[in-house]
Formats: sequence, structure tokens, C-alpha cells
Amino acid sequence: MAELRVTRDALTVALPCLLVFRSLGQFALPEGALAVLGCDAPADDAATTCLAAAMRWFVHGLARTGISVHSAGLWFAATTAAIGIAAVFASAVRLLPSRGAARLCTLLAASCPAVAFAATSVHLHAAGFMIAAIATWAAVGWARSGASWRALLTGGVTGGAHALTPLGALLPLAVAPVLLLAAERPSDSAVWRWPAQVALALGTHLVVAWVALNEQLCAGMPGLGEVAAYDFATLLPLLAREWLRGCLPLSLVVACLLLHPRVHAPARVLHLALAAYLLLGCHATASLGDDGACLLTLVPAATLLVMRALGERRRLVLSLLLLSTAVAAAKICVRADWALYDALASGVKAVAQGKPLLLLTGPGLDEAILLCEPEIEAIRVRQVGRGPAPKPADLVADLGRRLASGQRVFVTPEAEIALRDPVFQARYAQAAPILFELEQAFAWRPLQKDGWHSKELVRR
Amino acid sequence: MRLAEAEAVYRQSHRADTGAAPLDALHGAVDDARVSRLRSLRLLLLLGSAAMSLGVSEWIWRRVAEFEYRGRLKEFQHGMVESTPDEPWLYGLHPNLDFVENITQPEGSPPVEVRYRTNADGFRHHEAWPPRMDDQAVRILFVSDSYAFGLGVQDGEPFPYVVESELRAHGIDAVAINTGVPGYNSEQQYARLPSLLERYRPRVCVIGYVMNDAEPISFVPMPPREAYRHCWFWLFEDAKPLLNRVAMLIVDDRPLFASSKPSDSKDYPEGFLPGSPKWPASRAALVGMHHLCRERGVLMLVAILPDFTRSFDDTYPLVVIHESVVNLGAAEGFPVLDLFPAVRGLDSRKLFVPGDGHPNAQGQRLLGEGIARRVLELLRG
Repeated sequence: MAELRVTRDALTVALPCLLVFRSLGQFALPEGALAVLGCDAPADDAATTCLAAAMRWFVHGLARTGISVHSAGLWFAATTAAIGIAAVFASAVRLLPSRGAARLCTLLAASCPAVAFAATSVHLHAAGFMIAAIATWAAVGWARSGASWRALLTGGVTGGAHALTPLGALLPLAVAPVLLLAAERPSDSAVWRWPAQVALALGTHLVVAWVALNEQLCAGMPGLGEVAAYDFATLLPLLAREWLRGCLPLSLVVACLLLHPRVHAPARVLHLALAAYLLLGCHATASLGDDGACLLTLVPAATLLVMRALGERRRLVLSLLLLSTAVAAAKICVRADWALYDALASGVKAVAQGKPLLLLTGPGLDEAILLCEPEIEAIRVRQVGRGPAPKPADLVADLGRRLASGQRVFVTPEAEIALRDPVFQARYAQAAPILFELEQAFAWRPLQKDGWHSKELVRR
Repeated sequence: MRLAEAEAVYRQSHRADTGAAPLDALHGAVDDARVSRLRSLRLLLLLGSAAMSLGVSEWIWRRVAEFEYRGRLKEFQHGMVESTPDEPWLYGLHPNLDFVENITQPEGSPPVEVRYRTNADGFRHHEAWPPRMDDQAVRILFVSDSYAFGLGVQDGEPFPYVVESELRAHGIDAVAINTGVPGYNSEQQYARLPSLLERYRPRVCVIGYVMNDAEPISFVPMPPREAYRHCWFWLFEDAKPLLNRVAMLIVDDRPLFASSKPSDSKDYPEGFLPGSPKWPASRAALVGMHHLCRERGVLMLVAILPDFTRSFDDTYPLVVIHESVVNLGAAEGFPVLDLFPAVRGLDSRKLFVPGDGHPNAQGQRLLGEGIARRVLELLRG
């Protein structure tokens, strides 16, 4: 009966969250996150290949109902985040002394800027938050009841996460603080059961991941040498941007809890997990720069920890909630690119005037607009730049044929910037030759329409 | 209500039974009401004092801005222009000026010496000044900036004089009145036009639209009334950089608050993007000038003068500005002459003054010939 009530209450929490997240759905452009929705799976985003495939499957399935791929992507992010929030609530109900505290804990998680941002943009990592929250819920249940099947369930969830994304391998570390918290007031299970159950959970994790990943547990992970090569100059900005700023004020409070007499042990474990995430996720996190995307998995444990420590100081928690909401709202506002999208979309349509048109597009806003306007024909420089096919000469010949047939061809500013960017050129071997061939073969005529400016390729 | 009064009322209404417990409850209720009233009062006081502090701070800030502006104005010195802060056009050329500018040449060539003279009205020197005001003279008023003034070229070489001589060659008794002042934007031209129309009573008014005509004033210190024209709260406006820095620490790398103050940009098409206040202000000025000319029966021509520092080919990047002005002319019903086609395909490097960027004598001639042809058409109906 109690379980039923928790489930019902969790649903009543999840539904408003879903609606709020979806209604705040924005046109933010987390770099690379949008690319995963494209049909040509990104080989350079191998760290999240399985998760990306799952997201693609969901989004394209939903898009069959007639909504745009972008809108479906927003539904995906909002839904997964809302499920995560419901799982946080269910965990909090078990762990915290009152339902009021559980509700506050849920609000604190939902208003965490990193969570709110991921939930309101086409963001792959909202799913990571959901999985972490479910694992946390399973861990709390396990710690409270001491039932072996719950240990099995926790291991299964973390193992599944490992199979979906290499960073999932660290999920046991993210749920460990919750286990410590919940074990503070152990049920009547005997103390000797704990090591056995932890071993059972870890074993399940390994088996699930082993089977799902075809015996390649380290697939997509950086090598030890690579991890050792990261220095403080790389890691400190990541820590500041991804954790301290991305999850403000939660991150600061959790840091203060290192000195708290009751919860310092779980706080230490949480920071250990944070260090591991930063080290192993550095290659992904550094390139993403989405303010905490890869660290969303730590948010459920962090909120539970904070509420456990400060739950009785209601005013302080309310102040934190207010601050968190303000930062999240500011972040959503500042990252919403609807105006840019509108300018781009109306400019492209005004230029096209119903006639065939081809865009050479860049990796950010351009890819996003393609999600909204799938009828626009485009060649992505990220795809052609990757090579080996099509060769630059083939691309130029193709563009020449299109121009001859009356089609207009435009290079967007983003594409031009990417093609000229030495970092992009270093990453995509064909980028520099393509730029050279395009400049040799065509004149780049500037054009601006309704706020959209680009270069039209015309035959020399 | 006071506690004693409340007690008395309570006792009267319950007469006999005045047990301790109900009275305690009554005391509690009255205390609660008092606390709640006190809280409301505190909140009101807080809001009121906050509003008052902001108001006073804003007043002080505005005074500081004015004071700073006066200070900058005192220090301002320019060889060619003088500040006129009380006029809406803010500055003009020194009258009766005789000024020599040495234009540094690239690649170590000796500097080029250019002599600028102005007449008593503070406009570029013309041999026949003041202009003839008889009815036979076809006075053509040129309103523009450094292009018409002729920065980089000698007296007599700016395009208004080319137009004059071309028209004279076609038998028209033309008199050029060149009121071009370097750095003027459309709004300054609009502000100055009524007095010019009144004074010179021209037949034709040629507005030379230059690519930076939508940009804010940069020649003289900008008065606060101009700098803060889109801001309702000056203090907040000036706190934006600081707030953005704080926001970068706690929210995102992108600035949280966009500045509402006009900023001088070298990327002129930016001012023509949706949301920018630059082109709307320039557009309004052009429309205003059209209305002024129409009211006085003056023929108005807007000549779009291309940027001579860019290549005159397919890569010319300011097409959007040309298109915007052409479209405005079509919508408002005033003639627009786009001079880009007249120079398209030519080597722009041979047409501007090295080290300066304004059209040289040859460039001015090209502009003048193009405008003269169109003015001729207008005059012949």
C-alpha cells in the first residue's frame, strides 16, 4: 500500500515536471548533442554511442507521429529528466524524515541548473540523469530493506548504464554515498550481509555490462596513460565549469558538507566519485562544455545528501531552492537561441522562395535548424570533413552539377568558420582540402536576408 | 486594537465566565495579529526604502554621467570640428577653417598633404560662396558625411562639385551646396536638414548614404541623453558589465544582459540584423528627411555610396545595406540611386586614398558622374 502511494506521488511529481520542462523547451545548442539525432551516427561521439542510438530510436519513433525531430528531442529530454525527478522523489521519501522534505529534495534536484538545462534542450545526458536517479532509488531501497534482490537490481541498473555509456561504469561510485547515507540507520539485516550484497551488486554490474558489451568492458574509455596525462590546468577549469558552476548551489553546499559531522563520510565518497568522473570523463566533458552534462549522475546523490544534512533548516533549504531556480532560469534564458533560429529559418526560406537550395552547414545552430526544417537539403561539413568519401574534388563536381541545374548553393557562416578553424581542420582531415577546392572553384558571394547572412557559391 | 480594549470587549461579551484559558487564547490571537501587522509594515518599509534608494542612486548616477560628459567635452579638441552640445547634431565644422592634414601612406611612402578649407557657414570651401539665391540658379543641397565633405581630396574634388560641373555641362545653372560633415550619421543629417532647407531653398536635395550612416556618433563625446536613449535605468545599464562578469561565474559564459547603449561597430551589416536599433533609427531619419523635402517641394534623391575599402566584386560584403535602403525607397516612394553597380568590377584599390580609405579624386568623379546623370533625369521630370 505504501509502495503504491509512493508510486502515485512520484507520478504526480513527474507529470508537472514533464510539462514544465517541455514548456520551457528551448533552442539551446549543446555542441554535439544534436548531432546524435542525425541519421549518420557520429563516430567521434563514441563515448555515448549506445545512449545516442537509444535516443535516436526514441526521437525518430516519436517524430513519426508528425512532430519535428527537434520537438521529439525536447520530449525525450523532458521525459527522461521527469522520470529521473520521480525516482529522486521516491528515494527521498524512503530516506528523509517527512514528505515535505522529500518534496523539497525533489524541487532542489529539478531546479539544479545542469538538470534544468539538460531537461529543456535536446540533450542526450538527461537520460544519464534518469538512469542515475533510478540506480539511486534502487540503492536506497536496498539499503533500507537489506533485500538481496534489491542489490541485484541496483547492480543491474548500473551495469545497464555501463553498457549504454562508458561513464556508466562509474555509476556504482555515484550511488555509494546514498548507500552510506541509508545505511546510517540500518534495518534489522545483519552486518555481515553488507559485504556480500555489495559484492553481489558489483558482480551483477560486471555481468550485465560484460554481456551487453560483448566482453569489452573498457570500450570507449580513455587509456590509463591518457588519464594520467591530464593536468590540473585541464581539470580545474572543468571542475569549476562543470560541477561548481553547473550544479550551483548544490555543489558548494556538498563541498561544505565535507566538514559536517553527520554526513562527512558520504560527502567524501561523493567527491571521490566526482574526481573519478572528471578524470575518466575528461575527454567527453572537455569537448562538451555544457555545464555539468557529464556530472548529472551525481545530482541525485548530492540532493539527498544536502537534504539529509539541512532538512531541518527549512529556511536555508528554501533559500538554496530560490537561488538554484534563479540560476537555472537565467541559464535557460541566456542559452535559448530561438531568435537565432528564427533569423536563420526565415532567412533561408526568404532566400529559397520555394526553389531548390543546398546548404553547406556547420556543426552547431545549422544542425539544429536541420532538425526543425528537415526539408532543407544540406551537406554537413562535419560529415564530409571526416572523409574519406566524398573526396573534395567529388564534392566540388557535385556542387558544380547542382549549380548548373539551377540550384543555389550557400555556405553558412558556421560552416565557413568550422572549415577555416585549425582545430576543426586537425580533427577532420578533409576539412582543409575541401576549403581549398571550394575557394578555387567558386566565388563566395556574401548575402544577407532577414538577419541570415551566408556566402553563395557562384561559378568563377 | 489594543490588548486592554480587546480584553474589555471580550469580557463584556462573555460577562461572567472569564476563565484563564480563553483569555490566553485571546492574548495569543492579538499577539499574532500584531506580529503579522508588524511584518507587513517591515516589508512595506523594506520595499519603500529599496525603491527610494534606487531612485536616489539613479538620480546621482545621472548627475555623475552628466558631469563626466562635461569633463570629456572640456578636454575635447579636434582640428576640424567643434562640439555644439546644445544642438541636436552635436557638432559641426569650424567656420573659416584652413587645415592641412598629412595622411600617412603605407609602405613608407611620403605622407600626402591635403588642405581642407571651410567657408563662413562651416562647410567645405566653394569658390562661389555664398551660393546664388536667385530663381534661375538650380541649387542642389548635398547632405552627407566625409564622402561629400571629401576627406582625403583637395578643395573642388568632392563629388558635389563634380555633379555641379556635369550639370553645367548639360546646360543647367547648377549650384552645389555641399553640407557634408565628416562622421555625420542619418539622424544628425535629419536634425540639421530643416535649417538647411530653410536657408538655401534648394531644388534638389541629395542625401549621400554611406555604409556607416546607421552607426552612432563617434567623432565627439556622446552626451548622456544620446548614450542612454534606449535605457530607462542608467545605473542598471552601467552595472551590466559587472553583472555579466558575476553571471559568468555562476550561470554561463554568455553575457546575461545585452547592452542597450549604442556601440560603434566596424561590422556595419550587424546594425541591419533584426533586433538592432541602428537601422530602424537610420530608416526613420531617412523617412523624416523625405517628408521634410516633400513638404517643401524639394526633390530628394538618396545616393548609396559604396565602401571604397572593399572589393567591388561578388565578395562585396555590404550588399544588405544597399538592399535595405533601396527597399526603403521603394516602400516610401523616394528615388534611390545605388552607386555600387557603377563601380562594380573596378579595382577599388585604385579608387581610394591609401592610408585613409575615402574615395580619391577618381573615385569622387565616378560618384559625381553617376549622381549627376540621375539628378538630370529628376530635373527633366
